[in-house]
Amino acid sequence: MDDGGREEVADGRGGLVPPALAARLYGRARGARWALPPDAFTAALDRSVRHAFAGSAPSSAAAVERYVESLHLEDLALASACAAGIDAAWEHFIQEHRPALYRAAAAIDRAGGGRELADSIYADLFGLREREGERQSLFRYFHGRSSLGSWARAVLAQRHIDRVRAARRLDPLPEDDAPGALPAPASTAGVGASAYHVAMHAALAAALAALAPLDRLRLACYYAQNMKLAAIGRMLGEHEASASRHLARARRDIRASIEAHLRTVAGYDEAAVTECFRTVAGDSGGLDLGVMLGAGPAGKNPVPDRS
Amino acid sequence: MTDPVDRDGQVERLLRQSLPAGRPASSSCVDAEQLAAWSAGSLRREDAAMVERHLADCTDCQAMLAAFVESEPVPTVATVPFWQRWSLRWLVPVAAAGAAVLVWTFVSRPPAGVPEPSTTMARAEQEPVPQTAAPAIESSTRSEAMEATRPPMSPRAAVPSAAAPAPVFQARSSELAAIAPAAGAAGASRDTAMERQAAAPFETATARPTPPVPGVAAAEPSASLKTEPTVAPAPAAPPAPAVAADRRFSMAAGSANVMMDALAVGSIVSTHARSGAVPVQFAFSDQADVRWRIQPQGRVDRSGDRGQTWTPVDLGPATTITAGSAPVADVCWLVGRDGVVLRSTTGVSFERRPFPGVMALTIVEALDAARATVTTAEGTVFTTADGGATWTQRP
Repeated sequence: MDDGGREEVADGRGGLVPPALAARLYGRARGARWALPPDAFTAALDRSVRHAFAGSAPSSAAAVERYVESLHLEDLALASACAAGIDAAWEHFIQEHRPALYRAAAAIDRAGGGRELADSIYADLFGLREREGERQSLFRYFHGRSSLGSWARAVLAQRHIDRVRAARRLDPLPEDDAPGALPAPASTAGVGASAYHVAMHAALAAALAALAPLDRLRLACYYAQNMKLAAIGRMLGEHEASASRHLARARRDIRASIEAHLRTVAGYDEAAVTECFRTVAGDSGGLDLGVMLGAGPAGKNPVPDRS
Repeated sequence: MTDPVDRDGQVERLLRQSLPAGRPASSSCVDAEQLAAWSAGSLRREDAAMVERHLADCTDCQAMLAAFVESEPVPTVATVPFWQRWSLRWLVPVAAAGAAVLVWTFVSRPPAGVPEPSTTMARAEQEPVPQTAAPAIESSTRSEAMEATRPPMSPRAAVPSAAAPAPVFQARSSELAAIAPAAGAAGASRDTAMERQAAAPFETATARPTPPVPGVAAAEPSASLKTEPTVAPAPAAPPAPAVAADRRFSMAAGSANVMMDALAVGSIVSTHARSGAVPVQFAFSDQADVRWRIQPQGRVDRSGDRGQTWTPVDLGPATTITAGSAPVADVCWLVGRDGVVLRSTTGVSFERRPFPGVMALTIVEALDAARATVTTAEGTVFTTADGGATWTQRP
């Protein structure tokens, strides 16, 4: 299970956060409110530092201090107290976050399974599973880099996607003549059309690869995930109109890149380039944007359980 | 040659026709904690770039991201008037300073026992008035002098003040008391009252009552009304003789209408319940079934059918609400006088939250059931992140 951290450091090991700093942050986090043992909070800080600087040790004590000062300390204390099984903290979490979690789950799963989705994470949050006699609460994977509410929503989103994918794997394949059966790849009219498709796909793949990651992400969210411009804008911290402009610019860049690729790599003249565009405009030729924006074939490998 | 615009359209169609089929998750996939941290902007630059590169190419993580964004409470734009979006901390003192200059300019107070020179029109008008009525008329004429510097009155305010000077002053004071009862301090001088009058447009515009005079009970009525024996009784005046106040209040009512017309959607609604103003509605969203409104008298009504019908909310005895905020569905924060902070997490019933003081609260801005910011009439800001259990005063 890895719902928020790839590595988990045992409590108290390491001591990357100086005791004086930990004590000060403990006061700011108001850990005493939950009767959270200071050692448990210090361990949570250490885990967070190790997680954030995974693979590269903090450059200095000042870097550690800057990092821990930026954390959502009160949420971290609450999560640590919940992970430690402190009733008051757990009750507080339930009271304050459960309504928001239900709403978030309902927004994620519009098929009506939102409540079940939200309830499904409570067992893991509480830590019903044990390892070596110790409760394994999901809260241990909260490192304070976001608010507790955002983290919980992300966990919900991850759970939902994993469940959808797992359910999809269990679905039987439709019969060939069933309404939901996938159509056979469109056959191209002739050798010329097929060559145009191949050239166009190669040009498009090159154009997408040349885009900046954020542009690819916008395209994927808009065309592949069907997200709205407003949601994309919120996600990237930009205005809806800016997201729209970025998308339009990315499309222009793709077009220019495709044209250049077709001329220079495929050696097409203007008429052939025009024919390429005309060909794929009527039939994309089985182009998979998910593959184009990704790297490999789709849905062939089982999804590892990430939660 | 084909038009590039046409080709842009073809590229768009090409992208639209292409359907994602998913990509297997891998050990390098973004986990929930990373996603939330990236969304919060708290990742280091190199880590954020790495996450963005991965998100750009992994449809699994894109789907998780889409679900995460879908679950996000949509921040709605509160229909707060533009003057409330401006920095009130500057506007209020500037307004007060301007009012003080006006008062100082038009009001010259001779020292006690020194005969007052009859050099102004106001003093000339004072002569036929009985001696006992002098203070009230003085107030009136001073007010008129101040009125002369102001823009033309609204038609509603076009009642001549000279006809009934004393009721004018009384009406203004009562109106002020209606806005900011804390301002009606015992023992306050007429000049102080006039300063309040001069500052009233700003106070109404900024939806903040005048800070209470220290040591005086906030709910005590204006002493100027009690102790002025020469103030003419109100019945002689028509119901709308509050000349200057009326004009100001017509502005205030206009602003309230703006807020009323466009349902104050979302988090921030900070308005005063005031005499004669329309109730102010607010809700989590303009699609929300549950809506709230604050009556001018400080009562709160709830609607469960998008404002078709309203039911008074029982908030307990003598609770006067001044502002509210509904950041998310089923969550509503209300604040009022005497340090009253109420919160509902069910959308139905309210619970009193402790607050460090009994000052008048005029603004509440809530983010969710746990986090809220409350501003007192004096401009002090308190925040809570634990549902109002504890409060921290902002420096």
